[in-house]
Amino acid sequence: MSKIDALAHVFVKPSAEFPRETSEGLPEEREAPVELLLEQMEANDVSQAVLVQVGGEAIEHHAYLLKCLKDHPGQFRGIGRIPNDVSDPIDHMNRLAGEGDIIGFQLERFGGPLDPLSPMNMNEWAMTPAWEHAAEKDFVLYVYPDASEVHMVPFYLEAFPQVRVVFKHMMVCPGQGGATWKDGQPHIEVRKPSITRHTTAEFYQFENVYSIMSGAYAISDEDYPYKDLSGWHAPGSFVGRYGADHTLWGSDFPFMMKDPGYAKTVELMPTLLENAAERDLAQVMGEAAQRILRFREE
Amino acid sequence: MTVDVADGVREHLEETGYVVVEDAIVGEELARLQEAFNRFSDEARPGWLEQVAQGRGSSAFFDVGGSLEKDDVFLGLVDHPSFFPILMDATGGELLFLFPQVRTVPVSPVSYVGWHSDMPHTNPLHLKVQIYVNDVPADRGPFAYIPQSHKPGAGPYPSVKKLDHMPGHRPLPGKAGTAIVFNGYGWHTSMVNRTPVPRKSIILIYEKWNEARWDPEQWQGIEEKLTTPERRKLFGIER
Amino acid sequence: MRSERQRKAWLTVAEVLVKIDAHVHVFSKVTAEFPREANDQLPAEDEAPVERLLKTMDDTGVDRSLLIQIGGTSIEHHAYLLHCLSTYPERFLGIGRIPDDVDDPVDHMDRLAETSGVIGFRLFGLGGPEPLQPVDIREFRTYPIWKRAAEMDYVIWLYPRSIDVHLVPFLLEAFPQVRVGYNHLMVSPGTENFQMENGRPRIETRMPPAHRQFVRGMSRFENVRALISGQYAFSNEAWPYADLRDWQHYLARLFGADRLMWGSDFPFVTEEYGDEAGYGGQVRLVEEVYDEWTGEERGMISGGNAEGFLRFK
Repeated sequence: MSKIDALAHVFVKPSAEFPRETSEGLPEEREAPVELLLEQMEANDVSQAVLVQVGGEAIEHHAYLLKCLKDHPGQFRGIGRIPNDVSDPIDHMNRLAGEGDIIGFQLERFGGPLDPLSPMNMNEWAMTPAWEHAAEKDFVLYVYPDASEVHMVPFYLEAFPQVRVVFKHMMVCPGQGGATWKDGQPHIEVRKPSITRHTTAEFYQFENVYSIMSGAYAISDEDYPYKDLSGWHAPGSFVGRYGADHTLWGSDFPFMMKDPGYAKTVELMPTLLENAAERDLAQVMGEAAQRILRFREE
Repeated sequence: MTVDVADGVREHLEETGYVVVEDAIVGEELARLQEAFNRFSDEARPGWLEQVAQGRGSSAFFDVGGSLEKDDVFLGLVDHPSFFPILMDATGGELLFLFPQVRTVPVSPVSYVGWHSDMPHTNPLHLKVQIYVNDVPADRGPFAYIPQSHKPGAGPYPSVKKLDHMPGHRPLPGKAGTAIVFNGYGWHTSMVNRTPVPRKSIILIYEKWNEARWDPEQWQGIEEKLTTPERRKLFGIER
Repeated sequence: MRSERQRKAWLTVAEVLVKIDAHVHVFSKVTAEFPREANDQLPAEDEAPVERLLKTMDDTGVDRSLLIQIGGTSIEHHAYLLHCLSTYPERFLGIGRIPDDVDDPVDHMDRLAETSGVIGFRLFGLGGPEPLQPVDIREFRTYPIWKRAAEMDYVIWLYPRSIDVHLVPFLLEAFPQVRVGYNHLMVSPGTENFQMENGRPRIETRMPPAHRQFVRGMSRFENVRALISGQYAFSNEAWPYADLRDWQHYLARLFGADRLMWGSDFPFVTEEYGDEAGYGGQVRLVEEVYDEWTGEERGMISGGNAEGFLRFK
């Protein structure tokens, strides 16, 4: 079966039609238009993809994402962003999801106490309305928590077990200063194995939690195929315990294009999981994403 | 070497893999331990939070480092008379102290650790003592053990999603001052804390003396406090 | 120390798995040494000796079996079972029975389990209220049995009648750590549907069973295993019982290949009881029913799961 890329980003240079923020990783002159992604997908037998918003969190910053979803119906699903300081996250979510192909939102911060020893009252956390609304509207939440916030996640998972929660980048949760850029590619500095595994390893008991095998190029200390991360995929590993049907593959396009490139990124999971049963690999490379994110078969 | 342990204790440890010593630490000594635990935890907390923020420390648990150097009340636990004879008996007197964990576990819907065994049987006998510093009732994430899981050939034990789904497990709640001696070959965990109060405990880790773990320099920082031959041997200062 | 997780790793490696029949019966003629109850199903002169089982197993490549007590529930009625377990400890584990009217079920359980090899107990009636009545499991007749099973890690081998099925989820929720083997395709027959034909059970039942909603609910309890057994009794067709295929596949979707265990119900599937396919047919049944599954998955159902769950060494 053809593959589904569960994590890709598209953006163009900022313009009046497609405003976006600029940053170290997304300078003004940088662009990764959807045509480039489509070209890579076609060359590598990837039929569908999840486009995750980059370049800003305001409604207007989503203009290019929304255009791509509209121009290529059925081929993409969209994940939007919610500003940390938005006064009405529910309205923001509804406005973005109104068209139908934005199916969820990425969250990194939750607005609760950074001290895990503080009293934990979820009702006081800034992102609780977003979780409640996700539960009500069946939005997917792509989660990439900062290390200082990961202790809040299990409270949400327990309170909203029906919400589909997808963890990016092998459930790595970088700390402050842990993400840097070099030559247009991110580098994520984390202890290996990840220090946050004491929390994230237990999430497999929540049946709507999934993880994306993505970002290896940024996390690994070695060259492709990043064998220092192979333990995370191995039998019995804290990622392995989730099972193939709870594991997705994602490229993180375009940030890995320089090294190792799209084709090698597509080949990474089959390489690292060379002993996997065919049906397990098929789950990871697309069947799980199709089911969880409800892609229609192309 | 024979050590005087209470009737049935040795058998219980051999048969089930653990022994609960109620009222191991009591009265003034317990109060002093709690005060020191809280004081040093409060002091270390900002540094821990900094580590967590930087992604270099886990938010799932918080250990106070260097405890034996900080206060003699911690040092006094290592060979505490309420449970030390049990450890010596189990190892024929050949006991080596490895290190302590002065640990606070924040409240969470998930435990910071799943069911696990510390060491395979190829490792020298690995013993731990879990000492509750605050009261740990049944819903405050007590230590739990699978009786007889320390024996060679025990199991297999399933990978359960909910900790309380582990067949044959035994949660071990207790008052502050309870000490649980257990065999690290056996399967154990911390259950989920459903109360608003973090769980405070001290875990002491020992092995039957072995060359691989012996490091005569490890405890040089407190060497002047190790004034008896027994302590010097226990801490590996002398063989 | 090996964990079940290591066996079920989703990165699969081809290996030969053990074959275990997770539901068989052996019994001797009624003697002073091996007393048992005699009735229409098990006349006094009938026997299905363990040696016959062993030869059948050896002829068909079955490595081990779980012996389910038959012919009475008192301690003395277990004499033949205990004899088989102590004589062939490397081939068998056992499931005992508990009399409904025993004063001290805990003592009964512990006495039987003291002998190496008895790992659990079979339950039929659960001793609770009818549907729609208030439920307090502490008032169930079998509550002490479940409680002791949780304390001592005994397996419960469950074959409730339809009138009791509604009680099972309450017990599973109260004792999620108890390992439960739910017999015979999780079909729980009504008492009036149970008959004997050629000396073996014949059970008229709707398919899918009337209580299938409970079956779905019970699949979320991770220590429950569904026995793929007893087809001959429910099916209206000859082997391979095509009319039961859909239900068996439904169980597989609910529980997954790693939570099914095959059992034959020997001796009732042998030629002696008029079964045309015989024991060999039972051994081939998993391959036949789950033909679209991988060899490894079929191997787990045929014995790998039982080996781990029941802790055959």
